[in-house]
Amino acid sequence: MKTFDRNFILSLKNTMPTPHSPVRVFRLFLILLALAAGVPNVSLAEDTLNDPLEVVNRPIYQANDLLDQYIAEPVSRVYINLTPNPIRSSVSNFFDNVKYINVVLNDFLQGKGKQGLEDSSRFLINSTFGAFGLFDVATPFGFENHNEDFGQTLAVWGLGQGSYLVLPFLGPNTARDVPDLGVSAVTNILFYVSSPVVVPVAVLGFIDKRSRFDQAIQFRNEVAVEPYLFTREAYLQHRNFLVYDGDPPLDDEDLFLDEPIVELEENAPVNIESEQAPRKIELDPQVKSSDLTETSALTVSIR
Amino acid sequence: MALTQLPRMVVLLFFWLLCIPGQGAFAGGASESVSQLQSTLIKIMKGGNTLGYQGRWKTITPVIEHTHDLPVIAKIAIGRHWKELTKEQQQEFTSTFRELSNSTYAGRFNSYSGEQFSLISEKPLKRNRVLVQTRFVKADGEEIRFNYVLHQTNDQWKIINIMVNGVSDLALKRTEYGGILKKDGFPALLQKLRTQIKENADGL
Repeated sequence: MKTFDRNFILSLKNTMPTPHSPVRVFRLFLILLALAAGVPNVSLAEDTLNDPLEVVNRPIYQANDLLDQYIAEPVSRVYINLTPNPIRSSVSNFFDNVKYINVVLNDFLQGKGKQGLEDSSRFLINSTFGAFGLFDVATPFGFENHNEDFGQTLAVWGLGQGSYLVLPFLGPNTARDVPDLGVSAVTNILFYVSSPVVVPVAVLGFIDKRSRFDQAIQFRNEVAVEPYLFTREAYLQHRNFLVYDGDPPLDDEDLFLDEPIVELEENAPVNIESEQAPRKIELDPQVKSSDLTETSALTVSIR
Repeated sequence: MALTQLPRMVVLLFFWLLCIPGQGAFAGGASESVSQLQSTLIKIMKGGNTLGYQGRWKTITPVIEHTHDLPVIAKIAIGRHWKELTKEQQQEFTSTFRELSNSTYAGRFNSYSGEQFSLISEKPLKRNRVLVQTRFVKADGEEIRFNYVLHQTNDQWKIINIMVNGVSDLALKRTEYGGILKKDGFPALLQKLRTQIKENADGL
């Protein structure tokens, strides 16, 4: 992992905690999490190893799908049709900003110090000059949007993905991603607002989220021959994509494991020398993690 | 030609030979395959309803056949179940899969609103394959990463996997098809694929 800071983790491991010290308790928490998470570091190419709860997940998926079809989708459709683009943009910006402390926190937890400082600046700039986050004025200054959450942090810390879960209302998840539900809640500014206006604002937040996924969900509905499996695969792969900040190692992508090369590629020359001088044609090396907008993911997940 | 010209000719010839793409040495052909696919996609998107499904199908199908290695993709998509099929079933599956790929492209890329593809990079992978990274930029600035894995057959670079924002199309299909095969069997899978083809054609 390119951005994984080895020194940071080593320093964590080398701490000598006293009994009941916060670090020790936290480590215990991680161990318990690992046990709950089940089989660690499972290859994504396996069909059912990462979905031992499929029997329970499927009915929940069906229920969510019905809820989506009859409630969430129609509401989001009205929202999209009635609300002009600039206003929807502002609403999205606002909710992105209100949750952005979670990104900052997880930047630092993953050892991405520079990015953490950039994201702190982004948050401050958008909150002040961007009128409480309604306007994304930080991006033109080079402070781009990043996508980090506690599930990705746990991945960086070495925790395996764990079982795939479909949560009621919230949709696809994994044992490793569940803790982020809590972390992102307590780092969400709205959590600390005690006025009753929070309720309609939260509802608007759900509608905004659903409308951002609208195209992806439509695509899934049109193209998937097995929607449950399609959603699961797409979700798990997208999470992997985010953990590696857009550059997942392709060795894990090697789906050709159960086929000998000769049988599969009869005409292609078998070249064992993979270490010849790489001919890289870099036309645009400036690929940033800001490219990873969640809206373009083929996933349905409210977090 | 005077003999004194010979050394210069040799030098020129030497440099010229350096520029000829050797088999697999110059992987630029992979990017070209991808560019050809993408420019044709934009073409049918612009054609949209004027071309209609049939028109788009006619335009895109030869390009897909040329730029994708559909028989290999079909084989991988069905995974370890390939060996369980009879020869007729394998042929039937491959031809249905081919038709599904073509119809998906023709059916889904049916409108244009300022989108653009652009090439990011190309790098070699293991087993003589190449990864071409590109981005798809929509009119509102939203970017989607399209990465392609290609291999060479008969001197032609062909796509064997497409990853959209890290989500592998092949992995999705493998999981779906494997699941259907296990639960409902081969005829049910074919039926589902055929239904999908029809829906693509009907614009559903």
